[in-house]
Amino acid sequence: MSRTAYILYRLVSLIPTLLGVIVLIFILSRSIRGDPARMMAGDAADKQVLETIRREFKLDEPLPVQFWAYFTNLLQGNLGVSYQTKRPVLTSLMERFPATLELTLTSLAFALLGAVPLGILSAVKRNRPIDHIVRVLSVGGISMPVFWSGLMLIWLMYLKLGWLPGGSRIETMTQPPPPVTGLYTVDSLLAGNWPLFTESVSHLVMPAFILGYGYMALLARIVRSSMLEVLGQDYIRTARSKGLSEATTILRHGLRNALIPVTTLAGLAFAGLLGGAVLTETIFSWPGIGKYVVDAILFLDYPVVMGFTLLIAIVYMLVNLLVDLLYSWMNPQIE
Amino acid sequence: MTRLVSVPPITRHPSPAPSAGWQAWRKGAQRLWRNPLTLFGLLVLLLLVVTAIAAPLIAPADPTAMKLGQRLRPPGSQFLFGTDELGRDILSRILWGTRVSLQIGVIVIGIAASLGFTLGSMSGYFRGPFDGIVMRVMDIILAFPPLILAMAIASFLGPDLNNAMLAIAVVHIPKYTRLARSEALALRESLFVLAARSTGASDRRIILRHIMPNSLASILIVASLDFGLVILTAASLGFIGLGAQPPTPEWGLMVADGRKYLVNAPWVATFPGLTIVLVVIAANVFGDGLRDVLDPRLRT
Repeated sequence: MSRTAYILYRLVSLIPTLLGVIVLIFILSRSIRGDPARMMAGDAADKQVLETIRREFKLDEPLPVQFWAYFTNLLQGNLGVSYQTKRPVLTSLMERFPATLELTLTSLAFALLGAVPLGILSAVKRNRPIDHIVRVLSVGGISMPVFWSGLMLIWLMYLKLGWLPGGSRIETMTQPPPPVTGLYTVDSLLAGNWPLFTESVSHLVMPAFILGYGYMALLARIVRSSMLEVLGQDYIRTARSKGLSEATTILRHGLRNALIPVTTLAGLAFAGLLGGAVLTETIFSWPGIGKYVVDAILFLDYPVVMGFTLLIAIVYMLVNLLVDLLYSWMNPQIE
Repeated sequence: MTRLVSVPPITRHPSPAPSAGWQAWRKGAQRLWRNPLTLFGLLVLLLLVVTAIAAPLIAPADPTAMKLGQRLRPPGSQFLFGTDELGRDILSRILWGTRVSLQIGVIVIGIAASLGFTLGSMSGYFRGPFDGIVMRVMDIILAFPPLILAMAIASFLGPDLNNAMLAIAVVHIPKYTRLARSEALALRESLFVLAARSTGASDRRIILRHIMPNSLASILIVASLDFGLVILTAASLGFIGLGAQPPTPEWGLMVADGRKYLVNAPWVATFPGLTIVLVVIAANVFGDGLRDVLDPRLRT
């Protein structure tokens, strides 16, 4: 099977799970106690309004009919309308998605850049002081709730020291850069606006650090244990006995093999990054989809919760597919 | 000619040694005892249980009693951790909160592990269409990031601690199902299961008496590793407003309350958060230690 055919095959094989995901979200949305029409319209609505809503959302019809209406709307890109803002959910999600992308990508980069060296160092210097420090840092990282560590950092860096801004992507009075990618850091560079670039970077530092730290901690643990296993293998002894330098042995022979199992686990752990983004955005008033959904939850704005959950599930499934492909590409033992 | 390899003489144990299983447990306990981190974890968890039981005796004040004259008092000799925006003693609320967290951990893991364990054992033993359906359902649950799915379930069921616990339990089921299934798949081919079947034992009996007891150890290890994660997830839902509702002294909710007073009264958010960190670290290092002792294969 050629590579393209394989990728297509894998994409198609996601469809049954995706259908299941849609069914699950639909079932959940119908498990609301009380009258959904009243929830949409609010307590003050009169009978006629409620009737209109019931007809529009086919709430009087049997569940399969309701599901079919929901499903065909989905296929047309209609995720419903927010009760709160009366705007299409898809439009609002798309507007906010770049903010979330910028935050998660920066956190991901930070986590990977930190986790790989720390994990290697910890494995190579096993049971030495540096290993203990890395292990304490990583246990701390996976045990700290981001909503709390974020608040503590805001208190220190913003309220006490005043070194970094306390939230949002840029200052309220600042004009955002002309949209190209939607990522303020990239767009401001493209526009050649250096002050705006430094401003958006300074806003990004704290949330990206908080979100990335937990993921880094988890990855560092995985890299460490994978590295420890690889370093005990015969081919590492062979490499050493050939007279290769320690750096070559560890990086060329050790790391390359150790990273293979790490990719799979990193993909699964990416879930933590997506979940953490919701909390981080809430804490830092970061105008992404995570903050959008938390605001919606407080107002019982169910179409938004449904749309968001579906979008995140799709992103997560695609990330794991990507990781799987990367895994087979990195591992020559898999045909 | 000299012998290069010395062959040890074959000896018989004069008396039957304690069974291998018992020895493994004793060795395990010794190793657990020697690891200071694991011991620390165990100690904190024991303290958590004791505090939860003795909360009414050791808490200096009523956790929900509002004294508006004592709003946002800083930590000091009268209030060790200060008071919150309603004049409630934060230390007392944290101490009472151990009950909420312990309850969440035990109930959530109890539901998730027992359901997953049963479903997975049946799935692996029967295989066929039953297995197919169960595993597809698990795949669907696993297609979501756990916190996001728990959030969605909890928000549709309505903001309430019981709903939050149910939501967190649901997202944890697949882990146990998959583990129990893989154990059952291996066990069903073993000689003792074959022997049981040949004596006419029913499927039900084989699963309950032969399959499940033999995979219990791995289930327990994963359950102990999950404790910290479950508490963290519940606190996150509480923080968003989807978990315990006021005035319940739940730690995540307390951090959320403190967020509004970060400028003037940072202690309101600080202490409950520190407690979460302490308990989750303890649960994680204890779980790690337990896993290393009981099943080195599961080491990640």
